[in-house]
Amino acid sequence: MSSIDSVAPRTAAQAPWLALDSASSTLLPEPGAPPFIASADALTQLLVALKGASDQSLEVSTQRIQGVRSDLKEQLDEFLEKVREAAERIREAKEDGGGFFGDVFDAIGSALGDILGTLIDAGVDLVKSPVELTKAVVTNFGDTQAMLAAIGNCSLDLVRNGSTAADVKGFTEGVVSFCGDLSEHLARFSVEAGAAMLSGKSPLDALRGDAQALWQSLEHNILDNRAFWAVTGAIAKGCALAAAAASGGAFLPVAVGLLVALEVDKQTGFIEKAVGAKAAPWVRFGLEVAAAGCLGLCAAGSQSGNLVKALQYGTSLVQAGGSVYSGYRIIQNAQQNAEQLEQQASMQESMNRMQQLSRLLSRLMDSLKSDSEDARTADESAVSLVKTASATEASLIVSA
Amino acid sequence: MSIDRIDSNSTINLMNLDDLVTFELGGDVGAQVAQCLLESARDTRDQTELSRSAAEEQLQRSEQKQVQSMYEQADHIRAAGWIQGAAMIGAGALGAAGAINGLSNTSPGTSAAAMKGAEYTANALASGGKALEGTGIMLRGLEDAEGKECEANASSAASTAHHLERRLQDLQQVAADAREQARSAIQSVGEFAELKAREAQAALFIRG
Repeated sequence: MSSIDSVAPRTAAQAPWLALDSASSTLLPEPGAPPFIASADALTQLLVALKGASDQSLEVSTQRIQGVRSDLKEQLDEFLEKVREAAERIREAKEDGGGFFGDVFDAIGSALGDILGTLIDAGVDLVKSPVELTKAVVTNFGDTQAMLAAIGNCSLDLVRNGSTAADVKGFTEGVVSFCGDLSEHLARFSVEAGAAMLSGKSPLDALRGDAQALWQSLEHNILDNRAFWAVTGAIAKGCALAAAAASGGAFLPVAVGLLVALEVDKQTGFIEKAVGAKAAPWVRFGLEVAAAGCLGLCAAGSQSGNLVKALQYGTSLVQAGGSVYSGYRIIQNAQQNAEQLEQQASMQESMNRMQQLSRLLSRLMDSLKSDSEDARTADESAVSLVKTASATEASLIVSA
Repeated sequence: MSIDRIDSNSTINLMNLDDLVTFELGGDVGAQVAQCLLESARDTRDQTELSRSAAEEQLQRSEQKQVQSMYEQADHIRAAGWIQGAAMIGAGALGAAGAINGLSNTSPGTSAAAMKGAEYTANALASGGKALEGTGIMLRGLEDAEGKECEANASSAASTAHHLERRLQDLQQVAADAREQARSAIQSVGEFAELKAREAQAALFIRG
């Protein structure tokens, strides 16, 4: 309120009528009564009316300013509360390591661990670089035995290939690391569960503390490991090609052609150049579906060994798990993004409201200042008129 | 008090003051001029206030629209995520069902016909999953497009709001000028009245 106090006339300098001498003061109204109201002078009446309006306006402005300041404070508190909530959510999001999948990990963890164990046992020499693989198939097309031999030879070049070698390294590191964590937790669980059973407690209680750490290991080493999914995809394609090649099916040339096209596109990006950025994802999607269909038709008639088929199904299962996880992450991310945007909208709403109140306050302050100046001007003019009237009266008396 | 207005800017016609002076303020020319000038300033101020109120309302509407568009965009982002996520989960479930079915038919004792059937089933389910995934991507694209429209609407509303804020600042200056004009009028008239009184005093002294 200091600004208001500074604007309102309180001193003789700001309100000159307070400093009138006794002669002039006889013309001033009684305290409490409207000043100069008995005067017949039109200009004086105008000034009186103007002063009355200014005083009233001053009072109204002061009251409204107090109200607006109170509203503004409430809005500011609300805004700060929203900022605090937003900060709290960010902190919680950083600490969140479990969620829905963390809760259901107990059910799927062991199954996934078995599948990964099988993959490790199969060895990295079954992992094929898609480009080399398709080249081998195309080169030896028509000769099934030579084709399979060429596919096998590709494994030696695999570890020397730049990006593929990095993928294999990342895949191996991730799987080994996760398997280590899984083994450690399973060993600990078996000990703790045994102890729990002996003491009459539920053995599942022993797993609760470790579930979140194991989930984080799975996320870091497997689910969010790009190399793992790159190698898994290569395994799946290798198995499908091997099965298709063994069958000698009629759709094999088409499937191989489609796969070659997809792999060449991966290296050169020719599809995007040919059909444009918007259509490219759809063309790739169509090619993948067609290739999968052709390979499926070929492989269905094949007589390839059970190990290859089991591996094929195993990788399909892992890829399906990856797809489910990706879907979950997409939903989770969308949810987070939407909530962030809603938070932003809510904060924007509060800020808008504060700015509205701030504008109103500024307007009222301007009005108050202006009213004060109006009142001062009217007062000064009134004093001047009173003095002039006194001087004229004195002149009349002297001349009489 | 009746004031003649000669144009759309509500300018007071100061040329017809004589009639007004006679009928309304008892012939006090100073008071009449002051009143007229005050009326002029008040008209300007009133018009400015109206413009400010209109601009303020428009500004609040723009701000509301901006916030509303942000909420709508959030809804579209959420819907897009759910559509694509659900499609991918569905595709994964189909793929997993096919793979599990296939794995259960790879044991040594399984007949060739059963293995073949399992493979066809697995491939059919995988293809269905791909189709589901593609549909999800397509529908997500539609939601994304609507979300982008909302984002554009929010940006447009924010831009309008900024423009209106500048307009309000201009109008604030106009209102301040109008008040200054009114004060100047009062001061000038007061000085005029004082001058007149001094002339009268001088005349009285000379006559005396």
